[in-house]
Amino acid sequence: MKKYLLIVSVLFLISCQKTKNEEPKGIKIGDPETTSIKGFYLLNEGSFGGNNASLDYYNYQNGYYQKDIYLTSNPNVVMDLGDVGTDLKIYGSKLYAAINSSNKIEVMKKENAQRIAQVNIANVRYITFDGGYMYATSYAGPIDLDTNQAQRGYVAKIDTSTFQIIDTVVVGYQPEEMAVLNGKLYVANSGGYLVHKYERTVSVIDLSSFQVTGEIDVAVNLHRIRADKRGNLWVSSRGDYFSIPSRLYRIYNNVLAQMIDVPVSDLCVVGDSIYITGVQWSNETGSNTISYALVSANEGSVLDNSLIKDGTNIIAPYGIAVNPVTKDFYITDAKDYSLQGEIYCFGANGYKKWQLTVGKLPATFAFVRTNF
Amino acid sequence: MTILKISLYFVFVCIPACGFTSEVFFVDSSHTFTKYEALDQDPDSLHTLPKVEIDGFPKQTIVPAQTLLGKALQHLENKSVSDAIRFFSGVQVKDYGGVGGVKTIDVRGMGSKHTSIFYDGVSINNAQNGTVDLGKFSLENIEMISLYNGQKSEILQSARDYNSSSSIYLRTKTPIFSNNNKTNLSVKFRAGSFSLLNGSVLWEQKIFKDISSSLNAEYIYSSGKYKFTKKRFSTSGILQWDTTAYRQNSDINALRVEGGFNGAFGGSTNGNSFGKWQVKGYYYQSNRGVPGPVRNNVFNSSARQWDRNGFIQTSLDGSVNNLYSYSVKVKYANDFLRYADYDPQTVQIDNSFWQQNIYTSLANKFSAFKWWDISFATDFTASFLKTNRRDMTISPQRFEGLAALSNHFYFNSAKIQASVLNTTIKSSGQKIINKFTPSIYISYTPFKDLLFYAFNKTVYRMPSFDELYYSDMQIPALKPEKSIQTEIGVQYEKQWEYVFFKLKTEGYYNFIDNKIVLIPRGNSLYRWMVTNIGKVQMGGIDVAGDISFKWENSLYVSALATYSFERAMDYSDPSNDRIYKKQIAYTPFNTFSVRSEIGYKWFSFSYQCMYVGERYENSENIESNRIDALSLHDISFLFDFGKIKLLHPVVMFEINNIFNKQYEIVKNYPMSGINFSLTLRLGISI
Repeated sequence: MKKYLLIVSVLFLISCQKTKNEEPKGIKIGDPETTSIKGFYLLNEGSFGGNNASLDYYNYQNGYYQKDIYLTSNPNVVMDLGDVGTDLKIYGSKLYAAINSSNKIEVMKKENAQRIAQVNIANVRYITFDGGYMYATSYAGPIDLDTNQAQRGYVAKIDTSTFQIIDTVVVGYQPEEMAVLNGKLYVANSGGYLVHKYERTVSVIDLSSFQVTGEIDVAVNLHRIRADKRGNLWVSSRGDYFSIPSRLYRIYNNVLAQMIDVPVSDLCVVGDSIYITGVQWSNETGSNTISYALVSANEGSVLDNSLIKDGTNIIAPYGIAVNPVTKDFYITDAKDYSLQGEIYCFGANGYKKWQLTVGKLPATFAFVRTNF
Repeated sequence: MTILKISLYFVFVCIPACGFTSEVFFVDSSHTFTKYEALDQDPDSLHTLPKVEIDGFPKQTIVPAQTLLGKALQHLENKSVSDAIRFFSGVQVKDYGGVGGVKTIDVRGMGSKHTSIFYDGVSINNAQNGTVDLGKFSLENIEMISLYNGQKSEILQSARDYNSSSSIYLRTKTPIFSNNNKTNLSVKFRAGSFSLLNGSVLWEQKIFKDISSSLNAEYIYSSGKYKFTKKRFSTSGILQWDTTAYRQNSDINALRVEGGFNGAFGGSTNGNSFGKWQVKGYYYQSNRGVPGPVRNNVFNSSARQWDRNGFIQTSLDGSVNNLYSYSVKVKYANDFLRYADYDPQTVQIDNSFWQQNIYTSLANKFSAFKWWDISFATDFTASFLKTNRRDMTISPQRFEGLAALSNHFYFNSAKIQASVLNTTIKSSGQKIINKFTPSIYISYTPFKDLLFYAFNKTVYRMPSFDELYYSDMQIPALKPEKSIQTEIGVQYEKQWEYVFFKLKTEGYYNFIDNKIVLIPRGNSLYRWMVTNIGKVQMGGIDVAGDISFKWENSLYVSALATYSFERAMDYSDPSNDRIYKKQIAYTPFNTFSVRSEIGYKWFSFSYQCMYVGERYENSENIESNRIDALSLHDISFLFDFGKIKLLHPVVMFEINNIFNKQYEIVKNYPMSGINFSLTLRLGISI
């Protein structure tokens, strides 16, 4: 079989060479534009157990959207990208995707998503980078010896040149996103497996010693955490889905500074603007309320309660990303969380430019900058 | 989301299994008695069985069922109930693979929670999740399986028999003592692929003239380590990758013990009171691995499940005089399930569920006139669930009262059953639900051998405990699911001297409204929502043809073929044209099956084939959700040497999936390829 695979891959390489100068791949959907942003990748989570996480690429230079670029670039990878893609980031020349239920981080070439390596981390959630290292949160830490058998999470430190895990540090229960600020790594703990007993803290890790040096009490069930250029950390709480609503919090100088009254499913910090989508469940009406917000990082206030200005209706906003140059923004629609999702591109004015049906649960974006 | 996966396995139940040697063809239940009687010359036939004809009229249903019994079942006895039922038209099996994998069935696309399972006439109630894992049932101790669409349209039946969209009846073997024998003993040993070991003992004892006892125990072990291969080809047909692995964590260790007493009293001819009774005890326990989906970088899982199911049930069916008959049933069931996963790579889970169920039923029949029977049945069920699940803070209880009033009219060539069912349910923290639902069943025989029939039935499916209480986000008042079924059918059946022929065609149209749908809230939220948003309409045709030839009790040939076409459309969301009116999940358009047997004296050979057409894993009918069509072929050789003095040896050799087809029924749960088993059985009658 190995021999056969070899022949197949040789054939494939030959066929790749042949197609090199042909038409651009994918669907022409946008107008070509030339900025320092060359394109973006979109990671579709896929459905749990479906092994159908997928990666798409949009090329700003020609306006083509290419679905499932991972499959095109890696046709011989057994069982494809994997199951449940939770995070996607570019660092240096490489593209990294955390594939939660496949217990790995996939390392790919930035240019074409060609596979380079994989880092095995069980129940990996989110990744971030600093100083040549990748940091990854995982739910799969040590298990408490009490009767609850609750499991702590940890943060792994990975060398981005060797892809080896060089250190780990235990944090709170079910840690989610991380943010790096002033030599510290801030980790949002959710306690998502501890229903009714959610975590409330952000763990603070000193990056030089790689030890937890403190905790900041914020709110239940934390999820997102992003740093802005003014030294603020923006943290989202998912709430408890019953009486405590989802909210946005600001941490400044290691102290909880402010609560902002907007529900947050996903957010994107660009300069002094924070773009927010929210899907808030109400037990009273038995339905979801969709909300959007534009928050000023400078003033800590809601500037606008709508991002979309042309009445475009999105059923379940899932991910949001803003092109840092053009301020075009993208919102993904998870529909009913089992169907194929949709990506919407809006101009900076909030008017829709285009939309496209993509993979299941489209969620995380990574912008590709031109190399200088 | 892991929690969602796990909820698939919270399936409580009961179960069975031991030998059957009477030589009866595959027939409809409406003909069961005539068939049995035609076989009185057979030494193993039922003529020594206390025969109780409770109705003045032949005990018949108006709309015929699909039934498996006799030789057909003997060839299938090592299979699970779900493996046998998949040969019924209109049935889809959902199977997670291996001996221990969860197996549920879906009749005509209605959903697995719409099918009730009756074990010796008494329903198996699972208030927790509303489904029964049919993989837990072996066919060993079953003498007849019947599937009714709508309801069984008998006149004297419990109210629960009226209470589901489709019903499966499993009847355990009734002891039969030939000549003056008082004791039957049967010992079975089976071994096969994937370290399968299976043994059973059946002891039947005649105590008095009309009272017998039976005790049956069965043990099964399988490592479940079967080899599977997954491949992908490019659109131009070039192999891109393939991988072969052994299925992990699919082992099972299960023990079943059941026993009871059967009795009859009175005479059936002179109009005095007569009847039959049964007391039955049942115990099942298993310890099994729960295999997970095969996915990139993860081929293993470490979740385990432990079951303990026990029940005691008793029934008394009798007739006081020509005017009044009754049927009484009482059952107590106690079920335990533990699901645990201590794999440090995934969520730490150790959930236990304790469920208790008390059920009583009284059905009465009044024969007002020769052409008119009235029956009134009342059932009461109390269900109690306790769990240590963290996200469930109450111990739910449910009290359910059912009352059914039914009229049967018999005319020369027509029969009608018109019934109404009242359902009253009170579940913890919920409002009382009270519903009246009607049903009408009609059959017409213009001349002998030809039968036209039709039914229309409305029934509500009540939300199960997991739908009501486990979800984090729910509609404050979850409504019951409403289904309306309409069917018309025609059956032609002819018995010549050596040949039996039957052809049956049914067309149906069903509606489901307020379908309860679990909506995941995205993987990173591991939360889901339960709503009533679903609407489904389904229409289809089921065809079954049966031909058999029997000559001088030595040679027989039989063949049965079924074909189903179903269009089950998702009407839930008219604003979403990607799913609106698209085929619902796991429902093939076309299904086809063939079962055939050829027997000569002590030898018989059986060939079974089934084809399941392509289907989709959800209502979005796109390529990436498509699951390939599959065809499977099984064969078995049976050597039934009959009685040699006191002994009765039987040997069976089976080869399943003879072409080693690699396939999946549930996406990413690979099934086993070719596998073998050899069965030795020895019966002793003294």
